[in-house]
Amino acid sequence: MSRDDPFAGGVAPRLRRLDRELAAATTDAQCRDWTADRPDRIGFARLGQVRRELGNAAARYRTGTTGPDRTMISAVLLAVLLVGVPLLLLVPGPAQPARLTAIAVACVWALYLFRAVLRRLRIRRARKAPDRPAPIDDPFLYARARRTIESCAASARADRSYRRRGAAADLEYALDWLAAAQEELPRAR
Amino acid sequence: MPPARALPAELGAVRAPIADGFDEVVREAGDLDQFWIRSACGRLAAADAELAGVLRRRPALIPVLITTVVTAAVVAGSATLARATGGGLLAALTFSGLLSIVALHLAGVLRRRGTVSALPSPPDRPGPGLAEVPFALERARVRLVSAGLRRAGQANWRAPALRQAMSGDPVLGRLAVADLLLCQAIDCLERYLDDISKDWP
Repeated sequence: MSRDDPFAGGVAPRLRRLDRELAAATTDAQCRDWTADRPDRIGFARLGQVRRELGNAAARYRTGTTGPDRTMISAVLLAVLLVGVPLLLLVPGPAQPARLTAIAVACVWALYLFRAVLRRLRIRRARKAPDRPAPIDDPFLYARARRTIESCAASARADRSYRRRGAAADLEYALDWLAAAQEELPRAR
Repeated sequence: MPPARALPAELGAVRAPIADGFDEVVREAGDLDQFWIRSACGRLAAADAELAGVLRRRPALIPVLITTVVTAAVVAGSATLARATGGGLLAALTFSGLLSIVALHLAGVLRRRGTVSALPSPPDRPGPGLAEVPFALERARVRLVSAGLRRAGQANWRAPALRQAMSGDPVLGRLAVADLLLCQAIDCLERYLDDISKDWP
């Protein structure tokens, strides 16, 4: 079973995965609009509306769509592996409250330090990175999102819980916004 | 550095047209429960709250200090508890893990509480009309984008670097969210104006 299978997992993980993909596309399109690389202030706004409706639907499953960001995860891992574990092994009698507290505080400060360094490194590396085509222009992004939302709405409609059946309505709105983002409905001007 | 000091003034200049546009929409729109009007008002209020959050932001040292104090308290408490129950290092780590989960949950609850925005009540003087509001909001957006680009710095003005800067810098991230909400409000208003400009049968 591949990772992109729309029927893999429950509804909430599928929504979270889709939301992450749409978040990447939205931020990318917004950056391109800010830098006047691909000026379009409508498309990413409508993709943002899709994400809002997905968040409403996920809230009916009592979960959020936002996960922890990757920089934070790697910073936590680095702080625990490079600072916490060596200190626990090296300091004699680490179970004493004062020493354990000192080790934990050192871990926290190392976490902030690693996070700042990692962010700076990522920005520095991205300055020289080659530019990819914009994912908002990818027609398969819309096809994938539509298929995922439709399958999620189907399972939400068949749910036993009254509260979760309400997610189907939110997903209908998300489909509307997705179509609007793709087709650029006529505007006043 | 001048840009860092200029940011509050820039954001004030962005918030003024947003408040004016909100007043105009509230005064001119006939039905406030209409879908597009309701959405536009909600997005405008949210964008204003986001910008106010940027202005009200605490200095970066205070969250670090708070986290340090809370961590120290949690770990010291759990180590004392483990010593009192006769456990060793493993028990202390387990207790501190459980206590920190509780502390994270409480922090999440406290953060989610209290994101209410208050916009000023509409004045009585006549405004320029609903059709002018998207233009004014678009001008406000231009200022917001230029403030964001100045915040990001000239070296990050290509799309990949700007994307990383948006996810890395909290202030820039908030500016991006406010810009997204502002664009959504403009889009909603334009679709409303488009709807009422057609004469439906």
